[in-house]
Amino acid sequence: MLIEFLQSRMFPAARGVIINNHTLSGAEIRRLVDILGRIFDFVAHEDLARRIDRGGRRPFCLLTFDDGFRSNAAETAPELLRLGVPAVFYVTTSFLDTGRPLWFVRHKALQELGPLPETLSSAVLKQLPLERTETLLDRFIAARGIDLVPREHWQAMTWDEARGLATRGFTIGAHAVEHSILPRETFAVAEGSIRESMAAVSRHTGVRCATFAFPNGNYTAALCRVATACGAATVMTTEPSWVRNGAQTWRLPRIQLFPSQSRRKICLKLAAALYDGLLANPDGTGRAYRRMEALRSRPRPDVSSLQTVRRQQS
Amino acid sequence: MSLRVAALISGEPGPAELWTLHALAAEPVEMIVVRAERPTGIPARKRLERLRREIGAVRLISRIVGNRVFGSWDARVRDRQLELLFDGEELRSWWRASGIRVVRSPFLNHDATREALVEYRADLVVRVSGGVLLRKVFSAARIATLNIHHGIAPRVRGMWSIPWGLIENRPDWIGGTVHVIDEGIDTGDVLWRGAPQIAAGDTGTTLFFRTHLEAVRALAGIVREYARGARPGVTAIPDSEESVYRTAPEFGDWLQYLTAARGRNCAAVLRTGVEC
Repeated sequence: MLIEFLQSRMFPAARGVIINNHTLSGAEIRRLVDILGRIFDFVAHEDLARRIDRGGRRPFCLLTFDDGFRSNAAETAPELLRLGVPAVFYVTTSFLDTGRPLWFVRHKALQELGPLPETLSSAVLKQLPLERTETLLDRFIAARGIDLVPREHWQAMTWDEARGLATRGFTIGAHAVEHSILPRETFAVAEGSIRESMAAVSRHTGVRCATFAFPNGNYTAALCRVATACGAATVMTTEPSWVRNGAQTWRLPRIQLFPSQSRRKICLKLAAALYDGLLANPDGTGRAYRRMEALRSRPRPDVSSLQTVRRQQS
Repeated sequence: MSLRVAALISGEPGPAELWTLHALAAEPVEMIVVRAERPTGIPARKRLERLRREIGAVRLISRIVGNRVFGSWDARVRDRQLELLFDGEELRSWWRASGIRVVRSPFLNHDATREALVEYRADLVVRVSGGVLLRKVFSAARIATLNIHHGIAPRVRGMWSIPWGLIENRPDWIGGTVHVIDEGIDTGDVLWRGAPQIAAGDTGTTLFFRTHLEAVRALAGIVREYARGARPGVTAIPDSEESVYRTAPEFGDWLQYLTAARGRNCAAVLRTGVEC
């Protein structure tokens, strides 16, 4: 009720939400669809642009699942199919190629074994290029002789399963090659990861990859443009807000929901997301997205006019 | 015979300097470290007097107060962050066990530094930390003396270039340069320059960190080329490219930098998310 009231009376430009999940069991997806289905129309990726432009009787909701875990294909997708709810699955392509656990899965598994040194905290690792992160984790695992066996639901789906999802009507998007936090890499590496992952999705599924989601949500406008140049009609971030009329499809917000959240918490979060800047972006940049939006409408000043001559030497 | 590289440092090496030394030591070269006990031999009073003549008493006081009030505070935060990002403990363990010969000198431009370089017959000298080198020191290298400048030289020269780029809204100043040291400040031949991606959430420290990773990788590549007997190419700088010099921040500059959350709220950072 609260969301419908706020959206229709105070935020009519808010067209709908894009939900970001990772792994959900059959029961969890049923519950989530039940909660969201009371407020939103579930839409497929192909209908997104139209719904952003023209809206609808009710706000829309697009479900997305990141990373390409096996449980997405084994549990989530069959339940969604049964419920008639479309979704997008963003796959980390090397994860599907090799099955090697993603760095944050290994990190999480290490955290469960005991406290880690501060140099291996999430905050530090998320500032590093992937090569360095993997080196630090490998060194720590080797030094302590730990044998990490990933749990069933943390394992990767196969390309056959991804192809199966595509043939059953789901959209498969790219989520980089190795789940590196792309702005931490050099531009060339990040660009290569976007191009390669989108090409791999197209090649393996036989359907042209039309959407890209940034790992951890961290992005730059230059990288968004790489994705659109590679054929992405939509590019996903994790800015926690609603999609508004006139939203840039190369930088779409997504709201993260977790299975542990109660119905009330989910509704409150969705209501809070109507107000730009109320929720912090889980990518670690806090509420910078609000300031960025404010800057977007202001033209860039001519830097030469800002040039100060103080302390200038020949 | 392998290339002889001498790395110049001033004082106890921090994590960023150790990262550079670690990368150089991994190259197929012979290496020593010349360690100056302090950056300069000029007495503090004389330096202050010279600065007062150059910039005036008011700006000198502003600079001193700024550095005392904000600079030391920022340095503590920054050092702690760089310690974690570079994994300083690991690097110090490596340094202690490395067995790299360390020659001591009272200060960087002391005759003892030159003597150490001449005696070692250094082919390459790499200034890893410390202040401006005099000709008598940088000319002691048979081939060249190299430096990493944290800023895009010669567009911006001098110290604190990345924070200057942030507070003056000049993302094109943010990056790193590997150059040959000559008489000027960051004016020598440019062998490499590159820039990290700037993204929302970045600060002067995170940009420094990623710049340093890239610049050290480039420096190691350049040293490898010299070791192979090749000469790395010099990057052509367009004549039209402006060049400005920036030096130590004053009170107002510190205030501007810190109130912008060390660059996190600067337009140079925020705009990269919405335009390019």
